[in-house]
Amino acid sequence: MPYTANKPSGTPSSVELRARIQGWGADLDPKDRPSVPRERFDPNSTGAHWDFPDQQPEPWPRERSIEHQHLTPVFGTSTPPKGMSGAMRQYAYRRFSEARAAHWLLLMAADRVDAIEAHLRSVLTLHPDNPITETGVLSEFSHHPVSSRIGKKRADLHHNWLDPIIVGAPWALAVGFIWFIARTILKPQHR
Amino acid sequence: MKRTTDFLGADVVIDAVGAEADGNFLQHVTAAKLKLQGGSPIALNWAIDSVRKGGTVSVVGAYGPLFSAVKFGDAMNKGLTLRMNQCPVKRQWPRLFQHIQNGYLKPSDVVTHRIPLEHIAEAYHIFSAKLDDCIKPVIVPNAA
Repeated sequence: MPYTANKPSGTPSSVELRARIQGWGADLDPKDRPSVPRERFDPNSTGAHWDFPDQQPEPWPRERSIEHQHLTPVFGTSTPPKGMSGAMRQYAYRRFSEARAAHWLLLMAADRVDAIEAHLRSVLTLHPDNPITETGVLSEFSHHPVSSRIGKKRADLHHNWLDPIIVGAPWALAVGFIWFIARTILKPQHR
Repeated sequence: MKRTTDFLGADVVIDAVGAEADGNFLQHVTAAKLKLQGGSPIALNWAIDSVRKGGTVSVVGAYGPLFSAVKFGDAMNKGLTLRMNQCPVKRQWPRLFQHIQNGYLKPSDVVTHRIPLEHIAEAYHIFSAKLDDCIKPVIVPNAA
């Protein structure tokens, strides 16, 4: 009962829980837990053969946090900064620490710019992006779009109407923009 | 939940959802859609609400680096203990593997879909739109 000195009633005992749930309390004894003891200074247990790892070669000035003294010994090279998005990312790292919202907001804006740049690049190839087939949205037809949603008490249903707008609006805007430019260029000039 | 705990709240609550939590329109739009939060802390706020005063909230659900609208004042005023981490996998997995061998855990129970790698785009949409009650899809390379 609340407001009394007694402990809450109705808490099942360990014996009851163990009978009901197979394996319940298997880690109850601290000696069975991998995280006990909390700290063990045992550098030889990790299998690492270095004291400080060799510095990975830096093929280009890798963007890095200004909160750190130097670049980490190992880092990713899968996405070298390029184009406008690369310049934005480099600026976000150089100018703002990760403690600043501006750092992350710039990086997120750079992601969007990168997406636009990638779409534009794809238009120049023989295999341009196809938002209909490559987003997998066609699986709606074969995987029960209505019964997967109706009567399921899904928490996301009340904002589902936003998704087509958020996914489709940038494409619609891009098509509208191209159409507007094309019309402006192709329109006969009245004198 | 409050009724089963004499209206005190649970001793310990685990947020195992993290950034993608759903159930509050404003949090969802600002976090998932506008990316103005490092994750939508709906599950975390529910955890803070449903734990008893002086209780423990343990967070294994992942959040991003940006700030989130967490009910920190409630956590402070309830005197909660907040525990959180990414999983230290290398330390934990041998013990978890024993639990699987002993039959205490069965990870395959949560797998709802097995989809070949060639259909990855459709697989992603099925997963993100939760079609056919998709909870945990497994991508199978070279399924043919």
